[in-house]
Amino acid sequence: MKIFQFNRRDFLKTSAFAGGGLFLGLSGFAKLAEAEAGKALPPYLRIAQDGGIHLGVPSAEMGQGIHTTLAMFLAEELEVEMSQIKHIETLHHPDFKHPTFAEWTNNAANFQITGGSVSIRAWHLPFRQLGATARELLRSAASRKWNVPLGECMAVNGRIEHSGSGRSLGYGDLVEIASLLTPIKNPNLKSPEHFRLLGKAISRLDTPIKVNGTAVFGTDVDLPGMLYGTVKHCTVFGEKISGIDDSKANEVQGVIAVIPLEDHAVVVANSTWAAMQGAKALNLQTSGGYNDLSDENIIKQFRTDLAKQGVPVAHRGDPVTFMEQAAQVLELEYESPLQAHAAMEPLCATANVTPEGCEVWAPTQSNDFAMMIAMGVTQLPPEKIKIHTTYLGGGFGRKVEYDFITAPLLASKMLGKPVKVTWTREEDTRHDFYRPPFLVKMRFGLDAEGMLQALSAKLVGPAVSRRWKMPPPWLEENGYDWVVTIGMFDGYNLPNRTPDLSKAYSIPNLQVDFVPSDIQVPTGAWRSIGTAHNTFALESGLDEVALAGAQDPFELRRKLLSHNSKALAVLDKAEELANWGKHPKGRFQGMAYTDYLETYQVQVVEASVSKRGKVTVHNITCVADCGQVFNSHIAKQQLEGGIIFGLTAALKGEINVQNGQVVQSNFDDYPMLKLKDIPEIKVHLIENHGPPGGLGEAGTSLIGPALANAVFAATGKRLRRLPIKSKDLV
Amino acid sequence: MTTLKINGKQHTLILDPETPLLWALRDHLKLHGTKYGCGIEQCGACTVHVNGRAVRSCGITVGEVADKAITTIEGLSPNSSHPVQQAWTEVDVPQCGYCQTGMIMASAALLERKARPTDKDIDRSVTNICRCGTYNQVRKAIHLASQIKEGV
Repeated sequence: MKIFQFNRRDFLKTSAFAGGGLFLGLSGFAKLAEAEAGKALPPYLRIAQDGGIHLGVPSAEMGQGIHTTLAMFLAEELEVEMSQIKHIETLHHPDFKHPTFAEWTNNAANFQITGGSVSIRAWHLPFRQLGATARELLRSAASRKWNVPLGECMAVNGRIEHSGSGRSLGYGDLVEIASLLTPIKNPNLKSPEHFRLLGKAISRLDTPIKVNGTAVFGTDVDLPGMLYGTVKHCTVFGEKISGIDDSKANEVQGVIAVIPLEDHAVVVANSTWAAMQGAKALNLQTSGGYNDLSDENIIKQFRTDLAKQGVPVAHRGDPVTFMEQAAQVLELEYESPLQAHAAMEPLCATANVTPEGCEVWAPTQSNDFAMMIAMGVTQLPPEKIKIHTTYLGGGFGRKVEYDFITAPLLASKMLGKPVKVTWTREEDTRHDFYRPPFLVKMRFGLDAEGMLQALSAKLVGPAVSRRWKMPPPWLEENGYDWVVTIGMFDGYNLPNRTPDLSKAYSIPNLQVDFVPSDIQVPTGAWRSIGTAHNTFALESGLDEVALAGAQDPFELRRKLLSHNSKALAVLDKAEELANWGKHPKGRFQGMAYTDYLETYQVQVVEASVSKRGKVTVHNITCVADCGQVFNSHIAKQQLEGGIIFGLTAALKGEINVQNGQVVQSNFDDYPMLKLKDIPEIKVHLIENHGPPGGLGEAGTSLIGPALANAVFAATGKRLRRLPIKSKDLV
Repeated sequence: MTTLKINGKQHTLILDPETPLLWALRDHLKLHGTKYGCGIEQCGACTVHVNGRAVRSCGITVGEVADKAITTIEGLSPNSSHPVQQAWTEVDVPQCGYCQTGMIMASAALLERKARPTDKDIDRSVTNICRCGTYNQVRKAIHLASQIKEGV
């Protein structure tokens, strides 16, 4: 399939393009969209003369179904079936800068990115408007061709029909005329009751190629004359290469070159296997490094830093005074360890650098970051660099980074050939940007009736956005970092940097502070970001509060959320669907609630614990109100997948650091849940036609506390650190 | 020189016989449907059939499979018509998709051995790792594939 590149920034008119067809310009559409939605980030569309639709989208497809959902927005308004979408790909284009990230940073962050659970929020309206704009152009084209009033030309199933005469023409037959017309502003969008596609369980467009093995992931890129490489890092964090003994590596048949970089070396060969054998035989001499770094030292540092004054995150009332008068004060500490992303596709990228230009093929969540690193390595201007986004074999926040793109660029530049570099699983596990470890200390103050009246919380851990240099208010000089404070009374209304507590638990006296405590382990965005540690702490803590105040956990949350009708509806539905309080003998229930990027959600876990401390999860009920659901099948996939991702972190391994290096290396010592471990999961979505909330990460952070609360119900043992270890339960 | 019989065709490769089958398939024969996930037979992303049985191709050398019939996802069926692929499509199982070809190959081999697998059979035989969390849909699809295969 030919890929069309679109370079002109200002392309107001539609025009006939090479090969023919209707080509809708992006910036032209931007102006339309701006008037309608206040957004200036439109997409791109080509309707070919055979009626086939070719769509370029801003978001990378990493399993979340975004290609399908974005195509649905277009198809809904354009009045075509999904089968008419012949080609869809992630396109790198200046007009695809992410509006939500811009909004969150007062327009300071300006890049194309897929992450943060905000693709639908950002792009649903522009893609619908694009479909409607094209539909109106095609109607106008038919009206001119037949010389009949526009009102008699109806768009139906990929054709324009004339109501009076029964004549009809396929879109392909109209594109030539349509391409000469000027698009109208503010085309009508359909109201939800007329949706044919949106809201339904529409099959994913990427399923056929993922079932027959032809989907091209980053690892599958293949170019003529291509060489294969892999990387070997210094094992200790902070170490640099001081010398290299590549004599044994060069003896490996097929090894072509060993290229030492700052903290890792690239081994290039005539096959990936030869490169991996070469890397194994390579001896790196190193200097420096944080050899004393260990789990024990990290938590020791956090405990010391707990005494420091933090950066204010949220404040309400007078928690200090209330704590002095409280009938009961619970002082609780919750810990979360490091976790790796462990996407099934190890890191990889391919580059072809020539004196004239550079092309990169990568499973990247940000083609802009890939562009930045390509410009740095090649010293070429951006117009001579092309970034291709492949399918991602899982991303989960790891592939927003660009460290894996450097090696193929440098190797290709040096060797004058295309080079594909694939990391081993061991390198992928040991050189991640991990989920940050955190210590969360909370003091809950209860009145004489057992009601929660005050909370003071202190979050201690690394400010992960510092490395990304995110602009304020996301990240502030004083260390405030939204990525790690989210989930503890920190709203998503970043531009004001005043947390919106209107939907949050109505605890009258509140103080939340964050103490940045940086560590020498690289940390980054891990599916669910700060809510991973904050929701675990808060929802487990509230379970302790419910017990101390002799209240049912649902009842406590209903009282604290009486002002939030969406939350109440979710609580009621979850209690009903999970048969709360009516569990079979020997099984125990736990629940947790969260709101995350306008998705309100409850999860209930039914679990049992054996005498030997083995935890079995029998079933999980998830009820969510995420606003308008556009594809119910994909929405459920996202929640269920997010739950399993979080459940793995709650039940299986963790990343440990000893002597400055990561202990784990592969799935044998960093195990994952498998089919035999997976409980029945019921996902129920509340019907709502409101603005869409986030779903990609919403399921992940809630399952840990819900399960820990069930384990407490079963054993009386409170888990203040995940993952669960059987030895702690006997 | 090694001769491999893959998807019904003979391929002669100049390769160290110690090369894992996975890399011969991927880098030398460009059969990219078989994926690298761990290299230590833990994740199953590289599952192929050797004489009809599911084998993790990262853990077997080309020397060991030289005279055996190898089937990869590309050879499982023309047009995704294998019952497992039909069921996978019907249930719309994949998310990122990276582990799915291995899952499909493991499931197809299971159905050859056991036409109507129980949940326990599935747990024991399909031990592949999926990080997107498609497991419950995988299970559903295997049961459906069994029905399709049996003509139910």
